[in-house]
Amino acid sequence: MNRKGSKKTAFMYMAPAMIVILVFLYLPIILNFVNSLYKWGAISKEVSWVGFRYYKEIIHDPIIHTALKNNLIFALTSVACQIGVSLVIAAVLEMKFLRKWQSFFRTIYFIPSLLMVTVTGITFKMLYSPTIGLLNPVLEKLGFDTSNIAILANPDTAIWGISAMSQWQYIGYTVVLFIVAMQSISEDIYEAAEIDGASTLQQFFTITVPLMKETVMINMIIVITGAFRVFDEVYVTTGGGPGTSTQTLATYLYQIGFKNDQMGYASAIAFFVFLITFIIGLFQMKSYNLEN
Amino acid sequence: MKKRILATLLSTTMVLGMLAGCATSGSSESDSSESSDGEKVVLTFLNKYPEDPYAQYFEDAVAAFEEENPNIDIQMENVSDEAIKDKLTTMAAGGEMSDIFFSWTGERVKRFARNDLALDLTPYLEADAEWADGFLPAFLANSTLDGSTYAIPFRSGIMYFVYNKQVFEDYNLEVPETWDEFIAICEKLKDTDVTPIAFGNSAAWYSSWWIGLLNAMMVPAETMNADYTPETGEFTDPTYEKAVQTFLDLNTNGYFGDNVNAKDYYEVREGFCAGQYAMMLDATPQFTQYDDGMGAENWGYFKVPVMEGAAGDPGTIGGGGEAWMISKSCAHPDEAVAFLKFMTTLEQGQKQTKESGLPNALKGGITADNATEALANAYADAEGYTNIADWLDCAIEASIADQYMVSLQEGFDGKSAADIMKDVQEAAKKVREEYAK
Repeated sequence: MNRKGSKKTAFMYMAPAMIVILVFLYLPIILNFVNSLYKWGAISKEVSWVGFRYYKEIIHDPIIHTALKNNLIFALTSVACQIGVSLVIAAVLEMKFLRKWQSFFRTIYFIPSLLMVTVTGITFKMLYSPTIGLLNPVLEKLGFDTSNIAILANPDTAIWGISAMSQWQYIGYTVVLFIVAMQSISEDIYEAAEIDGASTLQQFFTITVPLMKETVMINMIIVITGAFRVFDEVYVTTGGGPGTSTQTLATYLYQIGFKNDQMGYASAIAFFVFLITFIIGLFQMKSYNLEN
Repeated sequence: MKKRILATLLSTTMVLGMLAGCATSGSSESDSSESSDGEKVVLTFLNKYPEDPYAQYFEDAVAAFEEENPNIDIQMENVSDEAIKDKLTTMAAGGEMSDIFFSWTGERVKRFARNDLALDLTPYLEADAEWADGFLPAFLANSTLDGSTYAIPFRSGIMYFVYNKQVFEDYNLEVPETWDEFIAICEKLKDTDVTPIAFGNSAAWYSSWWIGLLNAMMVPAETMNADYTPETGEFTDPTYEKAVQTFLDLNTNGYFGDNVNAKDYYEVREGFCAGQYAMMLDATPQFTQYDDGMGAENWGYFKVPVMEGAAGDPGTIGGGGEAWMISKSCAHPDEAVAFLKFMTTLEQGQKQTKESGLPNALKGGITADNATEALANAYADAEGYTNIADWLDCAIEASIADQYMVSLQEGFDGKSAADIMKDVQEAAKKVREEYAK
């Protein structure tokens, strides 16, 4: 009786939080899925059942392919820079001879992540501009022929330019997270390794990296799922252009839903994005759990 | 036991609180336009001019109307150019249209009308012939669908080429009247320090002005009318491809300068004002920007050169209007119409042009008294215009316009005119099928 009662009480305590999560998280996902099975628009009042037609369309839509490619580029560069490079920067800043300056560098690296994406977007758009920008004159001084360099106007380079901007902005953020994690590693281990004659590089790979696995994993999930939801960076710099070369899933969804008023197709894309991030998240959580 | 009761109580309160929250937000949709204290009529008004001097003018005008009509309260919200497109879509989706809302004329008005979101204003216009006759016919005609008028134009825009007088003097150039003369000027300037035409396409809407204009010049009017209607749009006439080719040629011949896709409208306008470019396509509402940017005496404008032998209707001018519409769900249409009447009287329209620089859409509304000399001259023939070729992104269905702009951007990067039109035809076909269902 008592145990049964306590179960009930526990459930009651959990109920409000559960209801909030159900109503504001799971319900919209389900509703969005239902919406994706209908042809409807915000302005057009006509609603008709189309079943899975939009999902078939997604598979054949060349812009979705471009968007997926761009999201992948974002994910790969983000992992390389915001995990790989920032791990190295964090380790360097944690070195004894730099400790004195650490807070200075930490601040410098961290500040960009405090800026609004709109601000960085407009700044980089100007930096990259071949007419008023800074990049081309610098390259010219270095001896490059810049007459054909227009990073954001060239479909082949635009997405890399945007991705580079995003790395510049967020690298400092993960650096700080990694430094915090590194500081929790006991100094004794490094000392012992030093006595045994391990080089700094060996220490990094055999002590620092393995002991930070959890932090790295969590950051990886955040960075990769973030890369599949990229919107603002693209929206403020190129708006998906030139042509459709920098469309990401999120910007394309927005274009379809709010500009072209095809809310049904947009819902289908949204569910598609959800599936991708959900699967990636699940996969990563699982591998993380297993090793634990 | 006590704990249990407390827990039940607390959780019920939370749940109730949530429900109550939902309920209030739900019910406020419907009565936003209802009278607040029984007497006073509240009208929501979504407008597009958050920046000064425009905002100040509209605030003053609303205040003046409210003073004349103490029983009406206009709640104006000003949202910027790009944002209002999304705001309107979102509002329509939520069923929360403002009582009076802004729209560009052309397809954007028709889209609201077709989907039964806009009030048919024809009876009001018929009842007040004086009001109806006051508008420049071309701009009022732009807001009609199947013979019914759904929007009241308050701002008009007519496309002209503006040019730098100093540059024209330095290189001994005459204002062109035909397209060939225009091209000859470009050719002459091409190898100088001055770039012939200021054009940038990193924000693709500017190309829709150009292609809208070129289509109007080169495509037979009947064909164009059929293609610009979503139900019948095909875009298969070869003249469309010619228009695109003409546009792309301006770039390949170097008249636009380097890296077209890296510059945008605002950047090239700055450049034009600084003397880097000789000519630029722009519309009358922006004329005051050139006065401010380079001094009224340093720039001039000329009519879009006539393309001799082209298939388009030579009487059509490029441009577009901005208008106000009344929501179908507005609870007080009479009061809303009264407000629009107030805003578009000749007196108020002239005031609008004088105080904000926004050209009104009224007969005799723009004169030397309330506008700059350039603007007044630019409107000298406006009463005779019968047809306005809207900016393309306002003239045709959104997804076709989008395809046009996307493909043109690719066109400046090497895509052929034939392939561009193939994309457009594809998009038009999809729309046609959607509308057929």
